[in-house]
Amino acid sequence: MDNIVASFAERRTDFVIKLLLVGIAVFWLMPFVVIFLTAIRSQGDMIRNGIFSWPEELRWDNFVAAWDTGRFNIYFRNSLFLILVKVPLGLLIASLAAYPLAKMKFRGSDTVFILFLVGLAVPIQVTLQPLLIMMSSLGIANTLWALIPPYLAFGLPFQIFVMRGFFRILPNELIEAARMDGASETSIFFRIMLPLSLPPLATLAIIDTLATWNEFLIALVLISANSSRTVPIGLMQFQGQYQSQFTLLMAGVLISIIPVLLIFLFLQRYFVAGLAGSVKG
Amino acid sequence: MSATDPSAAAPRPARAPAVRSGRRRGSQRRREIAGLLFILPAMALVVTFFLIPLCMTVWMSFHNWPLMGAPRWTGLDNYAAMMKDRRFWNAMNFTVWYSIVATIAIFGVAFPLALFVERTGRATSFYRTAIFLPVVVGFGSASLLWAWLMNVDSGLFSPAAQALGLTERPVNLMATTDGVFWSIIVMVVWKTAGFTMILLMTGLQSVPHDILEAARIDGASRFQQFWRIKLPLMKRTLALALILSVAGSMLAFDQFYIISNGGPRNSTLTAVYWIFSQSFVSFKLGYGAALSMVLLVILVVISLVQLWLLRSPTGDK
Repeated sequence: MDNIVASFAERRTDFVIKLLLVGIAVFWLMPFVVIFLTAIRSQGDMIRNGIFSWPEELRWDNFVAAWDTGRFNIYFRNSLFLILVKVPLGLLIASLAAYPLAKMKFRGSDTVFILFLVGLAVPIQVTLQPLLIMMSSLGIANTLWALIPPYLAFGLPFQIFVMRGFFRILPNELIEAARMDGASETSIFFRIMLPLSLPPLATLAIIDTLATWNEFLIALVLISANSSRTVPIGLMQFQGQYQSQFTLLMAGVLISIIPVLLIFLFLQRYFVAGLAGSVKG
Repeated sequence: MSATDPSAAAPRPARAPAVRSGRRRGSQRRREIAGLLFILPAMALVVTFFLIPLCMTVWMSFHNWPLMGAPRWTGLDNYAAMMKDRRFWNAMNFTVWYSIVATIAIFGVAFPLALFVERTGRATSFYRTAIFLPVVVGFGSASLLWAWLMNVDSGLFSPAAQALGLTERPVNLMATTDGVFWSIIVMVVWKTAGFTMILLMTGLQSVPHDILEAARIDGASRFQQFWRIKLPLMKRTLALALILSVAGSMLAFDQFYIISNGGPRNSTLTAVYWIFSQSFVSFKLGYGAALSMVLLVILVVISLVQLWLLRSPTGDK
């Protein structure tokens, strides 16, 4: 009898939990629904009927209008360029550094590693003034080239940390055997270590792509020319012009988040599992 | 991201037989050079674009440093001026208050969720995805979205509250400090709880099953299993999640810059926002650098305190 009561109570708790979870999921997805319903209707329609009604008429041309008037082609091109240069380059440099830090012991290696750890602890927000001075004296402030070095430098510590953790669990015998066969360190790195580390590299590449796409403050400080704006800065600019045109504005916001949502939805297997794994290490 | 890792390098295998030691030493030397060359690009980048700027921040903080024209040495003037800078300390207070509330709110949502989605199954994986989704959206886009949801006439919150009968007339959330503050708290929870949830879930899953099984056989309730076994065993994950959350909130800028512009009446200025506006709106770069140094010191102290609070009594785990 006791057992039945207990299991009934337990089942009731489970039911309440499930209900709560459904509620939370609905709340979490609601902004996406709202943004979508707003982006595909006319401004008048939205004001008349409120945001939770189905549009009287679908206005897919909002996206075209937002894309054109917001000049998103420039911002997309810039952000894509940054990602294509920064992400592969950063991962290569980080893995190169992580390999000796994980698998070789030599004088100074601990010092080097500590330097990278310090890099993890210090946020980029405290070096904005020198970065602006540096980039202006190099003559590249206001160009995309000004963003690449700081993005690289501040991404490296975390990536080196993760890659070092991964390399360390790869068996030493692999490397020893290759050395016996006379392989150089370069070929060990490129032919053995890198091919084996595709899973963490994929995770880091996704994290890095999202972070680069979304980065706001550094781009805001270092870039003011319209032709060099990245997507978040361009979107801000767009909002300044169309403050009350909510339908166009939401179309713009949607344009800016569709790429990251797609990346996440298609690659989340690598993303979430790898994220968990990389912080566990 | 645990900063205290005792075994910095893997133990090397036993040395080779003496016969070939000469050749071995040569190859060992070559290997070291290769290793250094591998590290070089990363070192160069981190030194040039992180370490040198960090030292320059210190240097600049002792100067009156305009964007154009020559900087002038002023010693500790910037720090003295900062002591009297009411707006900076108000911003600092606000940032600490915001960090405390945001962290409690994020953990309050993320921890129960982590317990629920820890189990495997089709439904839980859907919840995980749904709750993680906002994490990948940038703060810029999320803030613009929220600014609109907060709109008094056609947004979401005010009309919804009216429709539900919670308020009689439209509420302009942008007009009051509380309105802005709590709206942004809700946004930050929406945007970041998924990340904390996944972190905590990983910690929960790393608790060995046999220990839990043994506890269950000994008659430990669900609550006891959580409080006495899981929680102590996931201290490292907890520390990491806490530090990331607090550090992130202490550096908050985007959402306040975009949604509230620091308003109403500068009541939602954060520390980074004030540093930004002193440095890049008023172009007092030296003063901004001094403010940055203070912020850095405060951040480091906070992180150390958190690590100390969550240290394991036995030392290593």
